[in-house]
Amino acid sequence: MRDTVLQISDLKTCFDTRDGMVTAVDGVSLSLNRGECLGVVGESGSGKSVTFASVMGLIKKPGFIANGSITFEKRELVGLDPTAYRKLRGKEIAMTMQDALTALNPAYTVSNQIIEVLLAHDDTLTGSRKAKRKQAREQALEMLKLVGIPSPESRFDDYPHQFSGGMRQRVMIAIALACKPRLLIADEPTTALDVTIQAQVLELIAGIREKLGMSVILITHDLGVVAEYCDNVVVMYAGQIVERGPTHAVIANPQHPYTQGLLNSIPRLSDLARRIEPIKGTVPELVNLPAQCRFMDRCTRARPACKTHIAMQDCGPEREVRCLFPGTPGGGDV
Amino acid sequence: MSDLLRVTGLVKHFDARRGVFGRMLGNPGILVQAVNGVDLNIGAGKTLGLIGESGCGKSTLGRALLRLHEPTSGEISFDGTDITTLDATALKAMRQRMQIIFQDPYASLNPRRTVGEIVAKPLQIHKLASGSELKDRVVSILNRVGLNSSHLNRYPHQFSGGQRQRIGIARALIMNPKFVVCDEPVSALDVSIQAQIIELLDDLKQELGLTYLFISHDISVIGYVSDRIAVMYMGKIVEEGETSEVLENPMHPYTKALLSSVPHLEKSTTRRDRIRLKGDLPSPINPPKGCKFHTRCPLAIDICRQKEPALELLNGTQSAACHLTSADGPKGGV
Amino acid sequence: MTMAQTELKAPRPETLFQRNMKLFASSKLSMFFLCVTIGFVVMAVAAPLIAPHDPNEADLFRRLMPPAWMEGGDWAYVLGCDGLGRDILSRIIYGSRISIFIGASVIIVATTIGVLAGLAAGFLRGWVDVVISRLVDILLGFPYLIFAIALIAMTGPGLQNIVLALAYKEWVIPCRVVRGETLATTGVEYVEAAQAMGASKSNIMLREILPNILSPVLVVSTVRMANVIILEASLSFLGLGVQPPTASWGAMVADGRSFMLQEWWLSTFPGLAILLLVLSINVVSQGLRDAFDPKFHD
Repeated sequence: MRDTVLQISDLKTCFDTRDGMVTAVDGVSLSLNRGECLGVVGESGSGKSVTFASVMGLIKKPGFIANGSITFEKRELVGLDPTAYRKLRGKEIAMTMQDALTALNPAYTVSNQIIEVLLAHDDTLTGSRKAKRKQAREQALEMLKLVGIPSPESRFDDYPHQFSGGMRQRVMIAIALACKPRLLIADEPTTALDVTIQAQVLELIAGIREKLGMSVILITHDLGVVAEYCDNVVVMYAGQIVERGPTHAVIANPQHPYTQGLLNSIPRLSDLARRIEPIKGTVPELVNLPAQCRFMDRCTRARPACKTHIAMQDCGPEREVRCLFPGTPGGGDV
Repeated sequence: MSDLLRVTGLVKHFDARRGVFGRMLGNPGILVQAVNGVDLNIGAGKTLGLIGESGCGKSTLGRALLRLHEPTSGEISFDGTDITTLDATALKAMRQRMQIIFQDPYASLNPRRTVGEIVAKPLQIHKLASGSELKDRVVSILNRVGLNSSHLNRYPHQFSGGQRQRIGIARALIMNPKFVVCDEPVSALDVSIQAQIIELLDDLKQELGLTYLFISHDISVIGYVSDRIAVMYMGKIVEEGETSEVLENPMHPYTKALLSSVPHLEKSTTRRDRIRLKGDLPSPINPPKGCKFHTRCPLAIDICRQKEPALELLNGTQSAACHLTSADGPKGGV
Repeated sequence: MTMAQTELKAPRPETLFQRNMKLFASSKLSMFFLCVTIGFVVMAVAAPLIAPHDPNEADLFRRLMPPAWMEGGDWAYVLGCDGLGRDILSRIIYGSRISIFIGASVIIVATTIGVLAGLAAGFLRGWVDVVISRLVDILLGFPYLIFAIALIAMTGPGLQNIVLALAYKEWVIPCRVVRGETLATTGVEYVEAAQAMGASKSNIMLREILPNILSPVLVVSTVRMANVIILEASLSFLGLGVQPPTASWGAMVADGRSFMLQEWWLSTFPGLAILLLVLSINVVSQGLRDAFDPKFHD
């Protein structure tokens, strides 16, 4: 039997706003095995970030988890008390944020921020407070070396603003990895970075994952990144998962019209003569959605039958899709 | 072939932290060398794609072409007129023919003005239309970019990112310009919306006979929209040529690195034999001596650290600035 | 984390300003004190209709008459009479004219000058900015009241001179706010867009930037108005304000000083009037700030 690290079942996260109840995540279920890298793809409003903020226990008022369960290594996280959550966060599950400059505290040196995390979570540190601090400092230095910061000894006591964007992202990864978490959630780790730096950071995460046997969730809007670094992929649209499966199977043979639309929207360097085909329309508002396929208004395959609640259904080995008429155009099975 | 725009030796330096008192006291201040001697030609009706990483000066170059930033030196000849010497009145007239589309659809529209007011403003400034003619022209351009007259009295915050970008395009095109700087027009948009805007820009170009300078950090997008590509690094053009030439047969090591950093959708082996660049972009305040790329270049040799290579024509249409490809360089030819 | 990602498109056709004003109106406390403030304004405008007596009608028989509910009081003179036998209630009602007139005119003059100077400094930069900013720094270096006293000592007391003396220094506050906001707004792309379409500098400043920075100006002016009212009262208290016999709250407090221990009503009621008006304006401005500052939203 496979070793499941994270299991999300039927998660529903809502925000009670002035404009009405916004269901940002609506019935998301997924599981992640040890050592697996899962890509989560979606556009803004798809609920991908809110899903994992729910996992981290970071949903604040007016948001709340309305339904579902999240288990991390067989421990239920929904309703976990804040102290226990704090111990878990950073130590066993770590998350890196999209914007490294605002996620790092500008008032503390980089070394201080890593050391604080270690002092708070690492039980292997022993001795007096001073001795612990010394050990933590050494470990922090190791971490910065691991994430590839050149001459870490000299940069150690610098402040976040003295680092460039790529270096800050590395520092944040170093902080996230300081306690050797068993699960890393990387929320758009490279969106703010240039393409040459993006490659460096992704290689870094992939390398550490192999070295530490860590599970990784890579939240991104870039299917190319998913294709290169993830074993499996989950495609989200308007708060729901619409398609899941092994990355290469999904990309080579997408079943959901939204996944196909996304793939057709990206210009490919390997085939510049191919015309891109945009998806028409925009993402629906998440307030008071009717019980129907959420992609219906933008879908070329929409039929009256789509005006009902659509469940996930199997569509191949380890693959699922939320569509009544799945298939690849031209594949003959529409 | 007739060039609509010819740029020779364009330089834009910013004085940072100097102020009036500093200037009176002769304080040298800090010079940010954003654009450092750029030569460019854009043929009428063509799209030149300008690619580079953040901080390479590509946005500054785009704005300097329109004199939104006053160039420090150099010549910009638009349709035969040197616009760097135009006085305020002549420049204002010239603005009808050169326009810009911005990256951030949230910052580029005045939140206190209705869509109708925003789009009509250029015509009012130049007193090109008034009354019902004004309204007709506004409605007709809105229709053209995929909006309609019911949007006239709404405010920007009531629109999604993609719709806002359409408003920005309508504003830029309402005076029928010949040349448009597209400064990362799709970078802030979701993938599916990005494709819609690329299509729209492409259609408008065909229909109105526009000439674009298309600035982006995304080489797939650049490859898709451009006739020719210019690669910028630290304020200089390091390679320029026909799109197919640059993408299929890149000459400059930086272009090669950029291309190999792009994640591919197709299952490929490129990940392992990727050209990995060391470190980050150097500071434009204190750029390295010699070739500005030598600090990150995997192929750098002694001469690269001493002498800056010039942009040289290599074959009929492709040029690069690199000692290794230069005809009289150390290797004596390509 | 919440709103940006779910990307809500507001369905209502209203401006941000209207939305903020609705938010303001939803606070009961703010609305109550707004009503009190409006009450004062109405009182000032309609003083001759409301006041039971002529504020300057002296009658030594009524000298130091206590408020109506005390022994020796008379319901015709509810709040009692002062040392010259003038009705205190009527004087407070007429005095509100001075406070509100000076408060409003100083703020209007100062805000107009401050906004224009701040826009020019923040948008044009260069020597304009240097001159204006240094002037602001120098003016900020003087203690406010002493500065005003010195000016009035030179020009002599009088309504117009008081307004000028206070506005001389008051404009630096909106100026600093506007300069900062302008600097931040100038880098925004819609300003560049206006430049690219050939809009003139004054057009950009007044049509593009100004509407976007009015909210903080509105908030600052209301807070400062409360301050100016106190300053005017202070000047009148010191005898540099409006000259007798015109009723002014500050002067009434000052006149009652020598009777403070026995005939407390002479100073207390005008003092309470100052307190209530300033408090109301402050609560209103607090409400405005909360409504207009996005940090307090959601």
